[in-house]
Amino acid sequence: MKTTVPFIAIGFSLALFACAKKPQPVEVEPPPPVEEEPVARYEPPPPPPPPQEDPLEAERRRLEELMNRIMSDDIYFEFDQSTLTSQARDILTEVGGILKREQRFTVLTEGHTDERGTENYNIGLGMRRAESVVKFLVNFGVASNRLTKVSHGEEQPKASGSSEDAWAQNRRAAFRVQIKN
Amino acid sequence: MDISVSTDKTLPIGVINFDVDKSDGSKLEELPEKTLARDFLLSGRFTPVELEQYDLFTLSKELAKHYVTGTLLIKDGQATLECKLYATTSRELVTGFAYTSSLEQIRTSLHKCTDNLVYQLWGVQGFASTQLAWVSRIDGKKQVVVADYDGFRKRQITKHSSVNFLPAWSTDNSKIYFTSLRNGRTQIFERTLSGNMDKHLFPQIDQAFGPSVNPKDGTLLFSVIGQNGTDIWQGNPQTGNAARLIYTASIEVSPSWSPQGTAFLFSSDKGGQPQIYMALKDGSDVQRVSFFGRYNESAVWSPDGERIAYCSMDSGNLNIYTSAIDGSDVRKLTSEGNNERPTWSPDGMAIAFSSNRSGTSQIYIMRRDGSGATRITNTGENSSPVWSNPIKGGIP
Repeated sequence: MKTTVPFIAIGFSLALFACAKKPQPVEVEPPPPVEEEPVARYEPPPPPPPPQEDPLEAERRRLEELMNRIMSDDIYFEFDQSTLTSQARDILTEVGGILKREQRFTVLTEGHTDERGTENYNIGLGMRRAESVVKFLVNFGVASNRLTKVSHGEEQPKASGSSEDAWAQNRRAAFRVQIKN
Repeated sequence: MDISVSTDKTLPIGVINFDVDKSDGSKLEELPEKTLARDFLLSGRFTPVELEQYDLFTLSKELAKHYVTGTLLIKDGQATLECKLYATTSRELVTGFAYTSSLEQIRTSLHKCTDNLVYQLWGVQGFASTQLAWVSRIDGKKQVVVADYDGFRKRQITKHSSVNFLPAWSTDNSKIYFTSLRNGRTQIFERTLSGNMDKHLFPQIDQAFGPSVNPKDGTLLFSVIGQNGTDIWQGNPQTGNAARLIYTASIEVSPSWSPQGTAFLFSSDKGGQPQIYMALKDGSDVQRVSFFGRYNESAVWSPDGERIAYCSMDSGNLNIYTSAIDGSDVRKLTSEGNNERPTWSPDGMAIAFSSNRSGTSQIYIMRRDGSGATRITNTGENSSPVWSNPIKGGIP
């Protein structure tokens, strides 16, 4: 993982150079001293930090990536159900793995429903979905005191509209990750 | 307007155009006869026969033994309304009412006139002077609003730009209790209508929602998300004390007090799907009420204590039903679109609810037998109506 970071940075600066070079047409004769000149020209504001950055910064970025990965992993449910599908279990296994490695992460699980059914019952159903997720993670070995849960019922849909597709996206549990100091 | 047949007998009544004098150029939001005719229709007691002028033939044909008409004079920012009830054949004056008010209060005067006529002809207190609270989407956010029961004179109560929903009236109609997600979780708040502060109730509880107000002592029943399932609690909004009443591993929601405050309805899915149950005030003696259908929820007790109105889900859509309190005599009141959140008028003659039958969610009022469904909101998205309590002091 760590090696990919400098790679991307170099690839990026090369691409920049290639673009900058293009407009200069016929006048330029020797193309070889590619590396030096434009880099030097662009030196005053060097936005991409050097690959050997502050280790704290690198760690911060690594954690942020992991947090974003968990938060982008919504768990989806069938209509009026709170049982975990096999797909949900796969995602939760990955999330659980990250949580076991990163002991400082605490996770709030938000349960949501689609718009069908009543507002009151859907708050209860959303909570049951959050409970299913938390129960899985606890069984996976994540300490329960790192896991909290809320339900927003049908009040915060991810997709608007009354189509089967929108409903499927809204029947979910979503994660909010924080770092405990 | 729904043209389904009413099984309750209604009284035909003539509504003849008023003589309106607004020579000072003032504009009227609605002509008096229109407001009155809608009041009569929504009352569940009358069938209005609207006429431009007195017409014995039509009134007789429609079996209207009485008619209403009057005058409205607007001058110097003052409105003088005279409402008169006449006998159809003799054209003799039966009774009359006069009101002087500001222009903004003309509708209030007309509603008072309706309630006086209901009292005159039926001997009971009507609901034309009551209010509805509901949830309206404003700038994309759910906010609690309050309006006259016919949807006019709407005003926004909650302002916080999060989800504010599930409103309930205090016994004296001076406060609204509601649920908000403003802190990322469901919490119950109290708002005095004349004020502008939202007070967080029961902060000792992590997540609470959906209050119902005891009509006698003002205590609240509400749902609490527990460690294991969603439970029913009772709390006192004055002292802040609260305690569990119904707690199982299942989902228990939608508590609703009986009219005398001695028992309550709620929903539980301990049988796998939500069904309606009844319990005594202390949570004891739980009895199942609903037996037909897979998903029965949002039960509310009629003001006379004899029936319940509730929602039942059928292939994804909710419809409104009533039944006797032992679950027998089930009657389906709606069939088009999704129909939610029934709430009884204070006299039990009508039921307000929200429906998306027109494409967007709007508020409707129908007679208690399901006939005469009339839309009372037109723009935006409106849901979760809750009727105010009867006006203290009886007849206006």
